[in-house]
Amino acid sequence: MTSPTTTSAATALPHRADAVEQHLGDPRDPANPLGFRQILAADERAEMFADGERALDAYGLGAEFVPPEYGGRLTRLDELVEIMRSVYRRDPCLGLGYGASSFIAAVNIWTAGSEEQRRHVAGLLLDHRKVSVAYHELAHGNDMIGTEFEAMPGPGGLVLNGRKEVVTNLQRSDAVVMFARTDRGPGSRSHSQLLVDKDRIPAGRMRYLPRFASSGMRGVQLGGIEFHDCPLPADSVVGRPGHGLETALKCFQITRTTLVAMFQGMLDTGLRTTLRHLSTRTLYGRPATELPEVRSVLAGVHADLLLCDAFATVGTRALHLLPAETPLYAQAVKYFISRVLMDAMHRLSTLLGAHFYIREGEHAIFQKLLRDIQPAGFGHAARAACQMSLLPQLPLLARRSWPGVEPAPADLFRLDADLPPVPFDRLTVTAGGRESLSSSLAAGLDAAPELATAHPVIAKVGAHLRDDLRRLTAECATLPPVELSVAAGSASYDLTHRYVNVLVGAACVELWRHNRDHPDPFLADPAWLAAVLARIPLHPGVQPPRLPHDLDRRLYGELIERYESATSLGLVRRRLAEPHPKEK
Amino acid sequence: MSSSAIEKSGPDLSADELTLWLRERIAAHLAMSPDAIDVDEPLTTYGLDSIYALTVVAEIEDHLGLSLEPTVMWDRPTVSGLLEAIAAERPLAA
Repeated sequence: MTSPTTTSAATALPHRADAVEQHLGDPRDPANPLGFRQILAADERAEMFADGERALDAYGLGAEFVPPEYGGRLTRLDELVEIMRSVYRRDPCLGLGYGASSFIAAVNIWTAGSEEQRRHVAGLLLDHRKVSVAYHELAHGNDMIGTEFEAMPGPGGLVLNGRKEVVTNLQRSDAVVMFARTDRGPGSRSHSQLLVDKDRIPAGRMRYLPRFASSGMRGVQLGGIEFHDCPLPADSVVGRPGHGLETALKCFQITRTTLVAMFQGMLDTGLRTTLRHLSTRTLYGRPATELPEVRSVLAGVHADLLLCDAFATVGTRALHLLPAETPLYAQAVKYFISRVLMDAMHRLSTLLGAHFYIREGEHAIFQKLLRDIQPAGFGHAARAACQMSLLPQLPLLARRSWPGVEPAPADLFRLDADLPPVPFDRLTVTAGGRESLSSSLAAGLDAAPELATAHPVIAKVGAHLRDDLRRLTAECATLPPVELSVAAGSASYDLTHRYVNVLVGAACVELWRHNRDHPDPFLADPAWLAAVLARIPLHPGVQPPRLPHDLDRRLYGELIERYESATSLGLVRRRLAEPHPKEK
Repeated sequence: MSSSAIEKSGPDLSADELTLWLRERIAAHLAMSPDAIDVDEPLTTYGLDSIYALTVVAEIEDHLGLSLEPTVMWDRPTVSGLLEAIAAERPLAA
């Protein structure tokens, strides 16, 4: 389902995200009916923010999840991420509960569904309806093979039995994509996705379970559903019967990468809110932002945000350009970014002190975001599950890729390079230990020897990661098979951490190198590269060190400039709906 | 990993040698004796998980110098089924 045309970055990237920004308005304006005050009130009531949902209906957010062949605007995943960051930076409940959960469901259909199923789901999303995605059973977590919910052959098609739990929008959706056991035998071909149209469920065979209350994203309606001998037409199966695990592993590459990238919007607001608070606060006779310790934390968090953005950008572009390799990158992106975002929010909370703890007042949005960001670590795949998926690939990588292959193509990194349509038909279950990004690390560093003298930290981290890739190649080539499974020891899990760091470093170096001619001088300056490399947690379980003094000052200066000009804090600056703070 | 069968690789491996190698490889992962693996029993019953099965296929590819569908072990989950799939890709030595 690809079309031959590409989309121009120059015309498309900033455009729709800016439209969403302006449509939702200044979140801090107390008079804005879509602002933080109203968002927090809805959160206190554990309700979805109704005015926000109507505003997203008016914008037509559902069309962003639908490929153009079916009437939508889903041409580039990086655009989708940027649009959704504008939603997430205001209200993650809207991000997930209005948007991303339907997107996850829909990706299953674009990847494996029939033409009729695609038209049906597209119609629902274009009509502002919700589609939920019910994979989860509390007893089995990420162990999908353990799925008990079943759809067995019966009169007239299938018969559903069992339950799904903690699923977003289960009650208010019009349709549900369900992951079901369709064969009682063991193995990897015993499951299928079903597209369950609620209109086709006979009375008395299905009931909803009570809503699950949650500590974060409190407005999101987490439900459960239980079927008892419920007949379902056979054409409800999505794709080839028995191929559910394969479809899931393909779809997860798109959704794990993009969802955690969207979460970055929360850190943008968290950092902006903290800076706003500290810049108006006097401590020990001077503004809090003049305390070196405070500045250092803020600068480090800004570097963390840029680090996440760099890896997310490359991971997202790879979905378009290198779908054969994204079975690896998607796990790495999800594993890495979730941790950095959560740690950064935590450090900001230590600066806010009591002000992050109270649920009212000017900065109350922070405590909500601190709760709302937690699902980054477990929602839609736990971090450990990502490591477990990477583990058995390590010996193959050591043999097939790490000794050095052709580095990743320049278009993966060039922000002005066009992207082909989302290749739903070319996703694959495994990379088979073949990827090109790790080889880009040495290639990129060697092609830009000036980096080594520009900032000592670039040379230091670059050398560490190159050496570590060599060590990993030796260590992983001889890993005993028992260390590649769920029974692996923590030292083996650490290998995946170190490998992911290499991918992150390569993404950052190559992003810098291929955008030196970018119109924004910040992107051309190796300072951002030095700062983000300095923030890579090189040693598992150990926080990265502070930024060196010169980078501290540079990043803090950049943060202040972006804050005062109301532009977003990621790699590509975008005008936000907030007014210029100095003009207020 | 001390059997003579695994010292050889590529097209000069016989069906018997390949069977031995496969059983040893899978047994090593499952921490069990190769003799305990029934070639007609689905390997999932011994605890071979879906993700590792993909890795085993890649190991077979490298060992034999051929290319297989990555999900071949999902479709042919026994040692004998796998051998048939491999034989379809290239003839084994006598």
